[in-house]
Amino acid sequence: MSTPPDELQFEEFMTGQSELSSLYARSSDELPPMHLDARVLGAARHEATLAKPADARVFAPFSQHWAWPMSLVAVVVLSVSLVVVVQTEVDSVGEPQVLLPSPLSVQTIAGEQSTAKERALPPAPAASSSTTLGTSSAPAPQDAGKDKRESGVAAAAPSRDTSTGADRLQDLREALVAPRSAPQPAAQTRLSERKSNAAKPPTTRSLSRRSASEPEKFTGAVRRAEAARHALASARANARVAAEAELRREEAGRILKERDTLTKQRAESERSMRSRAAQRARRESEKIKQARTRLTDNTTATGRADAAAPRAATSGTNKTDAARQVAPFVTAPPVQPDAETIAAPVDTGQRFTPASSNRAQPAAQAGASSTPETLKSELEESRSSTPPPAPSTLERSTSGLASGLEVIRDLIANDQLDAARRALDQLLTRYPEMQVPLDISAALEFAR
Amino acid sequence: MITQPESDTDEALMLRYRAGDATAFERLYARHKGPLFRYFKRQCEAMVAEELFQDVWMRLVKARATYKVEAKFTTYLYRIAHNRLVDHYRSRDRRKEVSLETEEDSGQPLDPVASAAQQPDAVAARTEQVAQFAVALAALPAEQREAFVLREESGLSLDEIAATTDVGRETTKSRLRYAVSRLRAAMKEYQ
Repeated sequence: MSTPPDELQFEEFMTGQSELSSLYARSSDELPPMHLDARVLGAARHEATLAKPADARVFAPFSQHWAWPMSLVAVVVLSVSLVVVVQTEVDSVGEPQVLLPSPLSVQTIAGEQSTAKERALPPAPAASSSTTLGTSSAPAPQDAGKDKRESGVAAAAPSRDTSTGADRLQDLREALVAPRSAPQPAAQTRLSERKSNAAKPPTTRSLSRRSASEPEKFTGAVRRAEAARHALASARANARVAAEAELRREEAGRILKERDTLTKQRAESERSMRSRAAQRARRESEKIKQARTRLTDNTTATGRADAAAPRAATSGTNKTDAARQVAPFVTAPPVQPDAETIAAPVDTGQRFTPASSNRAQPAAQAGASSTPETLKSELEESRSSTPPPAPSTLERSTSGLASGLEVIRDLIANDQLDAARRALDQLLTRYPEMQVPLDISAALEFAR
Repeated sequence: MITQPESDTDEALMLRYRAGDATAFERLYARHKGPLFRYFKRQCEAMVAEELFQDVWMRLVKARATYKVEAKFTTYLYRIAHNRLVDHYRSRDRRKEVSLETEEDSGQPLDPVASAAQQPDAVAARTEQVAQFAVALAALPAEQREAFVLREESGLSLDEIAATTDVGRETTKSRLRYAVSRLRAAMKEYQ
């Protein structure tokens, strides 16, 4: 078990003046071997020369993170180039008067380009070249003619800068004179193309020449023209659609207006019908009231008639006749114009009252206040009056139908539709062959 | 004591080396190669000490790009050395089943390094006193010996030794006291 060291000795050691320190210094003089030094220093130099300085990395923040700036630059470049291309396309589409080649000229250009490709190919076998030689007589350029001479292949003129119209016509004549033993389809196509080329206006031919000399430029022009044509077609279609939409809109507005008008008319008709129905109901209620009043009066008059019956019997009159004479006066309507022209049926005596009974109506209406003496005098008077006309007079009368219709019309005019309907039924019963006038039937149907 | 100019401190030299100046590293290496080598030599066998010494310098070279002046360079260097030594002890303990963590005052001497008998040339070359001191130093427990060597070789303070060995200040002080006491006891007959 060791004891704790003395504090003084420890302080002495910490200050470096201890004897132990001097002993340690004397015993520690070893150094690493030379090969270790060389290895460590070589590795350090190699690392220092290989790697970039750390300070440079610190001051070049994008040196290790190059993806960000590179992607930014790429995006910017692509965007700018895209905008430039689109701007160029828009400008080219907006150019007016691009000379459009006809489809035939485009085919010709394609044929010429393919011929130029053929010319660029190595010589074909002799069999095919001989057949082509027999039908092809197109003027060839200098180099193409050279190829033709050398290889025997008919080179269709890829460039027509040096050819003239006279040459073409001469070639055409030769082609027509040439034997047609075995014309090849390709040769025929070329011949027709040359014919069409000879017949073209100078503008198209110059275009063909330009297309041969500057194919890319011409192709670009063709594309632009196609784009312009498409844009024009789409604009026309849009205009057509817009016009149709405008027409539909106008039609829809007209239909809406008509609907509103019809709605208003319907509302007005409904309103008028409602008012007429209200008026009719009012009249009906007044009539009912009057009928009740008359019924009351009739009851009173019947009682009086019963009281006066013994007296009437002495004078040879029939009680029932007196009652029959009195009742119509009470229940008949107040105004029945021309009612005497219609012989009232037996069962409708209350409605078609004889004209003579009209004269007794005021007395009957005043019966409630009349005395038995006056009633007696009335009965006497009625006994002495002429009897009502027989019902058969209507059947025999030719004017009965017209009169009945007139009565019905009057009833309709007085808004007594039920009475008019019943009268019409009676007329129809009596005159089955009659035809109901249109105004009467319309009025009755409308009321129904 | 010679004061170093500002541009000649260990930290400045390391910064210059980080910037690509190889000569700065040469000066730094010349300054610290002896103490570091002896640090390992006092605690390991010669072959192992050379291997650990080279490994520590290689680690320093590799870590130069991330070097920042956060502490004294000596503390930084010996911290690397201490960690490397601990790794070595652990790998050796896994083989020999010998625990590195021993009681500080257990009095059981460790013999992790070459004994005096294993270094006959050195023992013969020195005086008997120095040889005895070396034997006594080798007989110290590893923690006490490391603290003593760090103090003697690099002149680190108690706090710096504590930071290097990752222990508290009082622990370091206790270890040093025990080491001094034992060495004085071993060298008592020569005084």
